[in-house]
Amino acid sequence: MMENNTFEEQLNRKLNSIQPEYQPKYWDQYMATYGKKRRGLAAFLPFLPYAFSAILFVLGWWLHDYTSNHDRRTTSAATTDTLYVFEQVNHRDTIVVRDTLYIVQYQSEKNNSARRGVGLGANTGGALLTSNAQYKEATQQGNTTAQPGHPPRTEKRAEQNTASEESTTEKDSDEPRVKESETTREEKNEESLVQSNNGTPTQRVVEKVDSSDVEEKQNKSWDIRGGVGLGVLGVTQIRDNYIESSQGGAVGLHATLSFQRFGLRAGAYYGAFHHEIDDVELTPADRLLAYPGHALAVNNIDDIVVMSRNLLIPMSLSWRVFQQRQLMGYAHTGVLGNWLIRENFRYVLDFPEDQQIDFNANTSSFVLSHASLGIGIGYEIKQKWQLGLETNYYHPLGASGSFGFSKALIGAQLTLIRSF
Amino acid sequence: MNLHQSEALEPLITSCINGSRRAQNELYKVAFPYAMNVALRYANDHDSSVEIVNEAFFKVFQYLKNYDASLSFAAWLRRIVINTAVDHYHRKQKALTLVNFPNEETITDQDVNEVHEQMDAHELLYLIQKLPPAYRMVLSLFAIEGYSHKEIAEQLQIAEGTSKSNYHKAKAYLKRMMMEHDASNQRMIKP
Repeated sequence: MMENNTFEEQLNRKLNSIQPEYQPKYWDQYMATYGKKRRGLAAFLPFLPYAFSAILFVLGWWLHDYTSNHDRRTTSAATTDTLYVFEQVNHRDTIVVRDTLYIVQYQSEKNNSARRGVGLGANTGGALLTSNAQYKEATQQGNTTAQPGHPPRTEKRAEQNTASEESTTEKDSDEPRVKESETTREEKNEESLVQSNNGTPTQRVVEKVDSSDVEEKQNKSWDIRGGVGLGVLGVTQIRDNYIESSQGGAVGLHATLSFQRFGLRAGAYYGAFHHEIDDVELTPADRLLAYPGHALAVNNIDDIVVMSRNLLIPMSLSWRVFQQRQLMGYAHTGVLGNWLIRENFRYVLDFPEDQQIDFNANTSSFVLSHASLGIGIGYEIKQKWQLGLETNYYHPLGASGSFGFSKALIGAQLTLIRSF
Repeated sequence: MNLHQSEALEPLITSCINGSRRAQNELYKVAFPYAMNVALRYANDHDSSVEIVNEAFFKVFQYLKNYDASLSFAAWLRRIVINTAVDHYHRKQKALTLVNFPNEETITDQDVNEVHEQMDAHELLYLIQKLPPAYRMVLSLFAIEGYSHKEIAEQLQIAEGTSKSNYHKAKAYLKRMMMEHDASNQRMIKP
């Protein structure tokens, strides 16, 4: 037992005498393996702009898809109505107001257009004519002749169509009458009107007329729009052993000159941005040299924080990819002008004692800092306003103060545009 | 900075808790030799020891806010390194390597003690690292750390009897290797 204790004591003494030496490579190995894990939930915060952009993108995609499906369903219902009315047309004595015939045919044509995805979408609905009996009763009572509140052009259309209406009543078959009415619509680009049972245009009819107004507006060759925008930009780059992140926001005005599907947009945004490099001791010297304010002159810097104020001048060319009713999707590409107004550097030394060194720089330089590429969705409100959400990728073209540290920026923008 | 003076470490530990990477680096530098010394006995080579130490330091920085400053930091760190080594053992080296058990009767305790006295610490460590993992774990936990067989059995998830058996086998195996190593050295000295 005594000898055993001796053996173990000797073992213990000898092993405890070993003093392994510290080498920097061990810390490097630690940082490579565990350096990024210690941040926990906070590590995900810089990724919020990415998440926001992704949500916008998915939302836009979904809205586009949903709108298409919705129009398709509406089209089916309208087609049923149309067939129903054609049955009524076969009873010649039920045709009291000839306009009704034209309207039905026009709706049918519009529905087909909507199915092809080029129109604004049919909106007649099955509720307008609910049954043979209702239709017959309504037409016999002459309710369909009244058009209170309808725009004057409807009356004009009725007058213009008088000739073709007369020609159709002279013939026995409905076929020529249908042709005649289609011709009239195509030639004169008439508006539609569907009567409800009590003779007043329904809400859907009013919307239909409005939609036609939109269509007319779209046919204009150009227009000018102006608006305000609110944007967030951000990017986080995790390198081998250190983290660079940039986040910020900007607010400003812009104007758009549109020509058919194309638009030229320019704006001025005032932005504030936060840039940070963590683990400075692991950051390559060439990165630090780009920082004004002696990043390399001060020992023991743990973090570098830069607050910058910028005037951003985005210029882009946009292309409207699709438009369905009030919803539109567009893509745009351009450049981001960046006038760096002021930068505030903060060098954080948190060991051996908490210390911060502030350094302000007024640089006042202007460069085209990034090329931009983006997509967006817009929603028209009352034909005069447009609410837009877009997401952009900004690729750096050259260094511009702390902006030069960002390899790329991801942005999301909310805009409100007024048409003039 | 002495690792056994917990009061002197307090500012450094506070900075580490606040998330200062530089302070963590400093504590790592100070505590690395001690942690590595412990880890070397449980790993089969130097690289594995560094792995254990780094994983232990990750736990240290993660749970440093729970550290009671009135207690010895060195003891707290030692416990974490040992627990990490045991985790490593469970993850990577649980399978017991079958070895040819040497005949202990042929080696006298007097011979072993003489060899023990003459043997360099690094040579002894080298031989310990050559032990089968299951033997090495029990030997280190019992002979060096002073754990009881019951505690070892709980840690390694084995029977208490197995712990005792493995310890005796480990000691016998180590003695045998020590004698062989000494004989080999003698042959090198006497051509």
